Amino acid sequence: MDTNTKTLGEALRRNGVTRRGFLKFCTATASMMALPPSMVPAIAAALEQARRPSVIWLSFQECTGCTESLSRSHAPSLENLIFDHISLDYHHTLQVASGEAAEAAREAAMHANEGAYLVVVDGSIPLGNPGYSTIAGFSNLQTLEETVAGAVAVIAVGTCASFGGLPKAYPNPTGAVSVSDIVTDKPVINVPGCPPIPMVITGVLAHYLTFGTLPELDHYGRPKAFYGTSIHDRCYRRPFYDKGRFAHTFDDEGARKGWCLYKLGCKGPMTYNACATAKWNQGTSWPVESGHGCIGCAEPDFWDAGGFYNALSVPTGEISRNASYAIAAGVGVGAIAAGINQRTRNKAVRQHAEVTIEDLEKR
Amino acid sequence: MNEATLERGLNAFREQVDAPVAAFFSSCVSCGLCAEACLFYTETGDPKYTPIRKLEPLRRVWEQEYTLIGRVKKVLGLVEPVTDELLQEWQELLYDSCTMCARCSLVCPVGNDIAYMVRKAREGMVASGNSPTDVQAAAERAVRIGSPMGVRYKALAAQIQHIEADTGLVIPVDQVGADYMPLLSSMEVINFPEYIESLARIFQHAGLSWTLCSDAFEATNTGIQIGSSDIARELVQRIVDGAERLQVKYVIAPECGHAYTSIRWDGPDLIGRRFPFKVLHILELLDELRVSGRLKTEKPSAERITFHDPCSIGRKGGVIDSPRRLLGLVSSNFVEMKDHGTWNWCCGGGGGVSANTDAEALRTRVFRRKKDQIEETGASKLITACANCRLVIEEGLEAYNVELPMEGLTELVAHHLVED
Amino acid sequence: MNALKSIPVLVEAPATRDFCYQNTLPLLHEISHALRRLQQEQLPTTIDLNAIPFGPGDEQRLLEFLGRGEVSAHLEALGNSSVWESGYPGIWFIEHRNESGERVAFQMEITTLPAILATHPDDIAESLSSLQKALENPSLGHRIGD
Repeated sequence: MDTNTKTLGEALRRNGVTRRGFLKFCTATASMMALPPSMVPAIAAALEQARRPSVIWLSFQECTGCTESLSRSHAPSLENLIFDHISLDYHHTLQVASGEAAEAAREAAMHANEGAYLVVVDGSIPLGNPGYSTIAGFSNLQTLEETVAGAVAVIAVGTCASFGGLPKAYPNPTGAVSVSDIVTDKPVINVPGCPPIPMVITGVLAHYLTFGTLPELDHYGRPKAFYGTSIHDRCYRRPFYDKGRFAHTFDDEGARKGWCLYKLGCKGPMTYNACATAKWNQGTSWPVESGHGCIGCAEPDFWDAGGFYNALSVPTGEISRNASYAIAAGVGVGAIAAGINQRTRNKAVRQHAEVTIEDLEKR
Repeated sequence: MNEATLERGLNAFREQVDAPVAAFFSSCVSCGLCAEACLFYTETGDPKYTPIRKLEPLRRVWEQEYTLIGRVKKVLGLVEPVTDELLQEWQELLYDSCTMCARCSLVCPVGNDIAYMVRKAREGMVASGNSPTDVQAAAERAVRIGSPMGVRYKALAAQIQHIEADTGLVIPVDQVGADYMPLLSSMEVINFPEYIESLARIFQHAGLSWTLCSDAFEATNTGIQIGSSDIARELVQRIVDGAERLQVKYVIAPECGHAYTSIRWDGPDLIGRRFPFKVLHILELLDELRVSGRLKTEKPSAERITFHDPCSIGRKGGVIDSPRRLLGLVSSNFVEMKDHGTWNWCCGGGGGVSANTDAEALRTRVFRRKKDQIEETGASKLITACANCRLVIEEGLEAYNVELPMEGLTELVAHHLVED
Repeated sequence: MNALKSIPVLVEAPATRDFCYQNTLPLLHEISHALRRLQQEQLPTTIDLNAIPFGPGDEQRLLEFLGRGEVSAHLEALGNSSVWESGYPGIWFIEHRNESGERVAFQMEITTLPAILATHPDDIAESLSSLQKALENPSLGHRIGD
């Protein structure tokens, strides 16, 4: 693999990319990685030296939606530059080879890049009966353990690989588990979402390609750059929530005027993802902008978190989660209470007698 | 009406329950984290000082009049009413043992702004006649005489005369059309006139046009401390009238914590309109002058100094980086205290506590941790930016037999100016 | 696709005031602070507009408010890019598109001149040497002189 010795800077110049083109490329990359614009010079310096990593993509119990999301990703020419620059050595949905030739490609890539290749996984792993999901006669568990042994890190793409996802939903007939339940001795980056935003998948790969390190992760192993703030906190409809203006049905005045969808079951307050700024379909829109609440697809066990159209309430679960529910519920309840009680308060305001210094003492 | 009654108090509590207050009370999970953030609890270990508990009277009014369950309970006689006795008992909790330093608001895991609610609860205490008599008297002096310490313009004029005679500096008064109108706190006029001298030196050095206002020099606002928006409004209005009369572009809040809160943050809300001038803290102005190169200072000294952030200016006011940049200008050996900036540890004298003799013994007792943090730095001088903090810390250190000189940051900067 | 048009969908235009999501105003304040930093400390600021949670119409309102000034530049490198100064000097927009015409980055720079417009020193060096090489070519004199 002679391409491995070539840096991205050399590759781009050989393709006739000018310095301004390179700067533009770095700007778009920073934007894609959700890094501040001040990082552009650092990205330029790092990309100049970046080398081509080998990537092995494993698909287990999944629906191929994550691959669809990625391969439908827009801004193709810039991402092509990124993908031209990774060596996707095995991906059984996308590769031409099949059968033994495909497996041979995987093994060849593993041997040639021992200790240096990245493994991307989509789909969960069934532990109930290995026969539920096999590739080339191997159980998913066997394939994963064998492939991960020589990897530098694992990227779990999609909610199934990150947290078990739909296969793990109650009653979890296949005994599905997430990648991090199995891989405990290697860094695992979770990129959840059903599917994840394409830009987020490429952003994480770009981060590794650019800096050769893993991005900073939150307590669920998700890159903070994309999963650092809740949907609710970055939602353009947040001002309506603060004012207590809610849509109560999908066709009432509130829905038409674009008010907050909290009462229609929006899970924005407990969901951490980049939808509100990255948006979908080339930045066209995202669920809340289209008039539907967030279903919380980037959070663990979102399928079992109650109906999609039930407003958030306080469940008995983890403390940290409860706290965020409590804030959401509390402010919601407060807003309703304030509405009902507007009369009591108005009356009190009318009865207000101005306090002067004559009034300070009790008689 | 001329009297404070329980009924007026209850009405004031009712008036103060707004959407945030309702949301805060319904969100509280009684975790008790606010206790650990409160100096009155940590230094005494007495659970009655748990911040959220100090709001019990306001909470009862909210529960009984604004929630369905509370109303039902009230009909069935299952609730404890808010009585005069309760309010009397709570006077110590809402005044003597709360500086509204807002450290509790910062740690609350569900985001309840407890200090905001204490400020609101005090409205009910004032209307029902349960505010501390010392603070009442200070408010009376502020409204009648123009200063909580009873300082009239005559006293300020005498200080001005002294300073002008001693230093040859000029201190303009009532000059229409000047750009900057600094305010003072009575404490500066009486205890720390160095501040006025420093202002004169700095304005002359930077070549700015400025003026004091003879009928609006007092920056402190007892209305904010005692918790009466009506009184606070009247005092803010005096400053606005003075600034409008002199047509100044900037009003400069002095080294005083709550004065900054009242004129910069609460002022426009109180009088119900935008100010036609901008309000800056003196440290913000100094930092702007530093940026535009109008402060020429000597080489930084090597004296080890530390800085006490006044809660109202730092944690609640956001002026945290400017003082540090200014400190860097004058000292190459600046050390932070253990708790500083947003997380600073309160001196124990804010929110009217220092004006309240009922609170004196408690205030000295809870000063211990601040004293320890100051000593740990090994600094030979303590700098701050609030005359009240300064006096409280001076008295506190004296009570614990610690000798450490203090200086205001404005004064320190003025001393380091290089005159051409 | 025409079948879609046969579905009777009534789109009601919401009242303007209720439709204001108010994200333009805070951004404008941020820009004014950046301008002050540029004026006082010569510190430029870049704002990634893709990272701002805009509601429907927010971007349009921002562009309309700031308007267009005297300078516009066009750049062809890995697709087209437009750079223009807004009606408020010192506030620049930079929009990068890829070869398929899709927007890949949209930024605002509060600066005297966006960096991407300035010629890189290495390019100047290369430019000089290639121009000198061209001048050394003996056939050049005939072509221009004759």
